[in-house]
Amino acid sequence: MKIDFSEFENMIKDLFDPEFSFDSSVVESWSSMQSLIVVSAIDEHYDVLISHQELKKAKTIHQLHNILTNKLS
Amino acid sequence: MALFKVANTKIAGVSGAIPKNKVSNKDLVGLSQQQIDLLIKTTGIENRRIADENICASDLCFVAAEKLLEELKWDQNEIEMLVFVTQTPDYPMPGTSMILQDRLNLPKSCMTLDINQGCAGYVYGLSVISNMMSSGAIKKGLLLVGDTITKLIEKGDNSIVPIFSDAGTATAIKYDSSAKDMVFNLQTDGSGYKSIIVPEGGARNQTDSSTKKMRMQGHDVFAFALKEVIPNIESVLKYAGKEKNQIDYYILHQANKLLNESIRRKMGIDSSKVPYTLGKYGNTSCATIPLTLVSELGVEVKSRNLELLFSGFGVGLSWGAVCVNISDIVCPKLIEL
Repeated sequence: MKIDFSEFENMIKDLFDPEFSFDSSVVESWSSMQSLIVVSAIDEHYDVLISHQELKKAKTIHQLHNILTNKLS
Repeated sequence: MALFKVANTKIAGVSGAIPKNKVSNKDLVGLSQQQIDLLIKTTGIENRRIADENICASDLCFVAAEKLLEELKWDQNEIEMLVFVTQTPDYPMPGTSMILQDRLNLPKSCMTLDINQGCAGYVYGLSVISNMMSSGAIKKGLLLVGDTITKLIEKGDNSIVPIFSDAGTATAIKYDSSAKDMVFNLQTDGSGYKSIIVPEGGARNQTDSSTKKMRMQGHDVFAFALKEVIPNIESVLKYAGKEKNQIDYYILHQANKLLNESIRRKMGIDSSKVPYTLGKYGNTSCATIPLTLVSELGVEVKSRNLELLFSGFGVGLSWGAVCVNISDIVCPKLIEL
């Protein structure tokens, strides 16, 4: 299953209120709480569970998208 | 698979007690306003109840049980079984169930049992007491479930402090040959035992009690619950021969709102069927399910016949669900101690 990157990126951006300041392009800047929000959303949208270890390996949204795509293939 | 039915036992009443001492996550120290806002929004936890130093889980369960017995008009001498579920017993030994038997003036013919279980503890405890009463040898029993888990939390640990809270509950069980079956699905994965652990103070690492503090790998627990809870609930529904929409209320362990809402949405359950007490009372460990029943459905359970599903999940790792029919039960107002 292929997941469109811009669709994925928008899904991630939509998770957070605009007033929360974080760099959405850099995964490693996310707080623990933000990480849980993302893990939960990916599980809900794509039925794929991203582990904490996998999330830590991803430094950017692109890398996270790749992890998700690989898990789905 | 620990998937089974228990006949002939019925919940006769449920009560709960919480500490008077109320704290707000808005007042957390060491976090920015932005972090606090995100934390409250994500966990759904705004206020928590913290037991004073001299109040234990057994004290909260004791007052809940006293009130319940009074309203049920049950004679203490008729109680033949007491099960106490907690991870914060009064002492390492003896078991606290024995102390509660004495405090409640229950007869010497009453058997008691302590169960060390956390967030799945209410479902596990209900399975044990109902099974033991199912033959009819024991007609009336008490299931006391509570924790003062905040005593195990390091002050200032903002990964845990904002989540947990204290409460005690009492559930009266009676033998009733016309009762509908309770249907259970209980599971365990001990390979995750380190995910939530108090590593010191037991026989393996004997240390001063001041270092007995809880450690939690929040991400691991979150992923475990996302993966395991829904299949567990779906299995018990199937075994019980029920469709999702035949359940009036799903009372989930009050872990955190992000997780519980994710489970609810993935299962396609309407929000009106999933009550919450997270905002008011936080995560009270094994007590969340009966506490939510008393707090949110306390009026309705007195007059309606309800099909309920309880789902508990957490420390162990262990998890379980039960389909239970409730009708005409006694449910006193929540007590503050």
